[in-house]
Amino acid sequence: MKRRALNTVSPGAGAAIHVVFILCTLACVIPFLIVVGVSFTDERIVMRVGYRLIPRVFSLQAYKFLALDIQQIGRSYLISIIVTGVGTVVSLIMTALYAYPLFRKDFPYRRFFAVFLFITMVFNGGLVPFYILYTQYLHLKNSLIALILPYLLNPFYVIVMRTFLTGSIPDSLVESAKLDGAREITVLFRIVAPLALPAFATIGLFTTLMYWNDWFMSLLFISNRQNVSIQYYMLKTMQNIQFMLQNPSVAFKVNRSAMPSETVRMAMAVVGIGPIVVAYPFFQKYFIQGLTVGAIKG
Amino acid sequence: MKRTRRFLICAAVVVLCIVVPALSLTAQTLAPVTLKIIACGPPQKDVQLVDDALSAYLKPKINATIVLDQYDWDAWNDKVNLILASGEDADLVFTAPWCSYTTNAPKGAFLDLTSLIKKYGQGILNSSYKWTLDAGHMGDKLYAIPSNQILAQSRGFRLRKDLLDKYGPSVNFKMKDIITPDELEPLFKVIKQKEPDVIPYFGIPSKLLSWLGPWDRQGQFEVTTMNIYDQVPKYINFYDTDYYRKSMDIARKWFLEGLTNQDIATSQADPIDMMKSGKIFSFSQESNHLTQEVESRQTGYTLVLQNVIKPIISTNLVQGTMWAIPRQAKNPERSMMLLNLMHTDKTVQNLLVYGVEGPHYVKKGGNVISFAKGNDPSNPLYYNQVWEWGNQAMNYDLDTDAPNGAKRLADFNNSAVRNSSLGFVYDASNMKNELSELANVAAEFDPQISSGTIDARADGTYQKFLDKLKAGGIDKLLADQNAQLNAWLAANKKK
Amino acid sequence: MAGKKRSFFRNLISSRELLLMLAIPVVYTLVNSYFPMVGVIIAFKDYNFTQGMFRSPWSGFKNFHYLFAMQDAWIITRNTLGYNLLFIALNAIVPVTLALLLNEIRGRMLKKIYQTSMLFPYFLSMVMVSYLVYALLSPDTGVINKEVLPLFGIHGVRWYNEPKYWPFLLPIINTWKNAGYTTVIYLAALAGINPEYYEAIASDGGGKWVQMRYISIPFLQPLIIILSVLAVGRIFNSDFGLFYQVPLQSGSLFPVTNVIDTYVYRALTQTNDIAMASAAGFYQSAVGFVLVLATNLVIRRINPERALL
Repeated sequence: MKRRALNTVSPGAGAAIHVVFILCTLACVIPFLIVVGVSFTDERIVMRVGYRLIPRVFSLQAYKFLALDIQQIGRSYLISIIVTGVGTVVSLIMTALYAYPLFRKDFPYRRFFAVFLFITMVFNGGLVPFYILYTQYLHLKNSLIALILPYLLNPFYVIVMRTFLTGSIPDSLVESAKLDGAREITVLFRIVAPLALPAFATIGLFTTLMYWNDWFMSLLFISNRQNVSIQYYMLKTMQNIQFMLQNPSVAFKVNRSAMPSETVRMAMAVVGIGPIVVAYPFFQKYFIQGLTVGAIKG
Repeated sequence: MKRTRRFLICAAVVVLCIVVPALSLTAQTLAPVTLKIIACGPPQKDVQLVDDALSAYLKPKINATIVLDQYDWDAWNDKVNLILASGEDADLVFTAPWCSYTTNAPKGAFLDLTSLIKKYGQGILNSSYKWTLDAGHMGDKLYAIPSNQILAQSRGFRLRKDLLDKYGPSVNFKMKDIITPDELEPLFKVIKQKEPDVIPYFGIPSKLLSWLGPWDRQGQFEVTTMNIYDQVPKYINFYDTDYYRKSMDIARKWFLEGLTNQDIATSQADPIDMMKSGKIFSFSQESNHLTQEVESRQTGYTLVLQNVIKPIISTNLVQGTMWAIPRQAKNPERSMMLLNLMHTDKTVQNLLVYGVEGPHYVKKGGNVISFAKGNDPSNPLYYNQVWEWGNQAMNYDLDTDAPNGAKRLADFNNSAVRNSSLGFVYDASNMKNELSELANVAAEFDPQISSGTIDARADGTYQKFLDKLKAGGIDKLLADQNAQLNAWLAANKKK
Repeated sequence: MAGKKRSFFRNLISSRELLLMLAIPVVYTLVNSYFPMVGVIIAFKDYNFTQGMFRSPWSGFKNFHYLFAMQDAWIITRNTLGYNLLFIALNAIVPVTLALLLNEIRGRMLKKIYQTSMLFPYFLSMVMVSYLVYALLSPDTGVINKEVLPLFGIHGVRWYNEPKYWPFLLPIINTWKNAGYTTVIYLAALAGINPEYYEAIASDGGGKWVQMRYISIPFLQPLIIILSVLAVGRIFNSDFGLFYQVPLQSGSLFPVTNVIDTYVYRALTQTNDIAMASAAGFYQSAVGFVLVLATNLVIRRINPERALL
């Protein structure tokens, strides 16, 4: 009889778990594959037959249409990459700077700053004052900074990071470091951060996703069509069509020759998601148990 | 004595030489200003070229540099409201009821143009119908100026000509000037029989049969309306009319017999796309004199238009394209001058619509143009909305369209039925709560009932709908609307 | 008095480094969130453009009437609350279970594949999801009605006309779209547990269930509580795309799909009123805030360590 490695599940349970995950994977990936499939299908077939996983009539028409605008797509990609890259790095630092004091149990103003942050999570002045702030006071209309600045500190991420820190960093570690004369900022970046890698990786991933997926800031602040993020560029077609459906009297007047078809909309979704699928494995390795660098010793 | 008189005469001459020229406004005496136009629609790639051309053309006339800012449909309503609320740079703004005009105007977003138009908008006054300008009023203030474009609207069925020719004769179908939907039934039945893969009638929730009458209805969930054929105008409960009930019954019949698409109450598909794919025989929508040619071209099938109503014209339709001067305009006089030129100057109009001659279009003689080689209409460098600017009648004719667009436009507008409510604008400030609730009631019941997907009479849903409308305050709304309408009619008769 | 003052300054000085760390984020928050927050007064004003936010006349609660005084007020509130409570529960159970199970998988490659694939639905916009759901549930061409149900002899289910299916469909769709995202959080948390703890229990004879019960789940408990409390803060908000786009705005489904956000949206398309929109936002925020404070208080009584604030 083969010896099972210490502390694994029984083969029966293991198989069951695999079945569960295979079903989950299929349920999650197949819809996306359908989107890809439709983007490679001939437009008229889609209208007649509906969505199918494997294109009945293969066609590159949708991508050829997108390729006409390849310069703009490239430019928007670049903008999204810059915004996401810069935004994630700065945001991670800001989040850590706020989460660390909240995690330090002997910080007397803990609750105050937690409430201070939490209120911004719940209350919102609305679009108008926000817009006025960014355009009239900060003069950031049409600036890339306007795409980065609004998301630099997300209360949800701060609270999650704080909870992670509370759970994985023992107080004794911090105390001993302080007794050795270390400054708080040294403790945070030299001692805490390496131990809280999964936390940083998670928040880093979420922030990347948030910046990459954002289209709203482009909608608000960019008025020339060149400097929009790739998501806005792709999504606005879909939203234009939604608008037309809900406002048929306007739709009737509109110059329709430039209105993309169903397959083009699918191709746009594919193009918009693309790079994230590549970026995700970079973060992923930090979630897998056992890879945590420098586990707590003694 | 003689010396003094001579001196006075010289002085007078000198003074006159200075004052008289100054009194006539020439561009040289106007300070330079940059005018920002905020328009709706997809931003054009070559907009900078057009800005430069417009500025070059208009500098000698009104000493203005022009910047055109366009915002795409999805974001238009939000953006224009933000621009108005934040007071950022804007000198001329497109507006219409579907982008918050009726709410923003009474709240001071736009300037009152009554005196401005008299001083600098003579061209507009001369080229507009009286009722056009009436539609831009709220009370006695002129907040926006409607543009001249296809103002009238008819409604009807588009039928695929090839199938019509094939099967029409077998049911003795005759094209008429005006038809009622049930007259199409035999035709639909034979199509269903002989062409099982083709849906005879494709309906969508916002354009159901009930809407195909002579109603002043633009938004999908407006609960009150006016019958434009009625020469004595009156607001009525749209859902409590014989026309609505008859449409409901016809729709139910068609649904049960499989003459329509199964998802008629929820469909998110575009009828033009459906027609393109060859899956449907007919659909119905608003129409005008260009519909047949335009939609035949868009769908790739020759279509024949069978109207259900004669063209109508109402305030709502006239308000569909308006320009206003926002409160933050830095030089309202100059904005009005620009607007005046937009209504009267053919060069300005065509620069805005078709772009610059050469890179964007080439002249073909007379009033006809065609797209330039590098300017493909399906992915254009510049090809803007033809209806959005001052005066569509001034447009060049595209070589792909029928000629003499201006005359056909005028004929169509003039052929429309109208009643004396034309020019009346309702102020909804006091009925906001009722409108909020009634919109939701209509959204809940109308599509399922008038699409025929349920037997609304038998299962009591229709009665429930009417009861809920009553409980939501429709009578109060009607009372307010009719009161304002009658007051306006009375005041207007005196004019 | 002097004692209090001294300890106030003492606290200030002893935590000066932490306060300095907070300086930039706090300034940022003040500018980015608190400065525009003044806009909440729009909800209480008869807003007009000429007088702007500050000088428009006050209107008390007039802008709030449309949120309450309607026939369906109860249905809409019930729907909003009901679905959100269900989602909070599902969001606590499903991702935790998936994370725990995922951890038991040997084979790094498979683990990565399962994990990555669970995130895919997150990337699709709700409009996309509505197209896909329609591809499944369309009455005549949908996969379910055309291929699956006929196998069981069922024909022509009118998915978009029958309210009874949607209290199940919507949570399933919501979980499908969001569970993968939340699972990442729990996975990261589990990655931080020292493996020695598990080995200790295993060598004492404890199986997987025991390990989960005494190590994994207690370790995740603070996170589960925090996420749930944060969700309570949004208990009067809804995912607009889920309730408006996915059911294709079908009127017959309103009794189970109309929530506060969709009601307000439809109301605003008719009235276009900035102040009324602001009032809706304030109403949702206020309720969420009060409920979070209340929940937080209760948790603080039971276990102060677990409280959010």
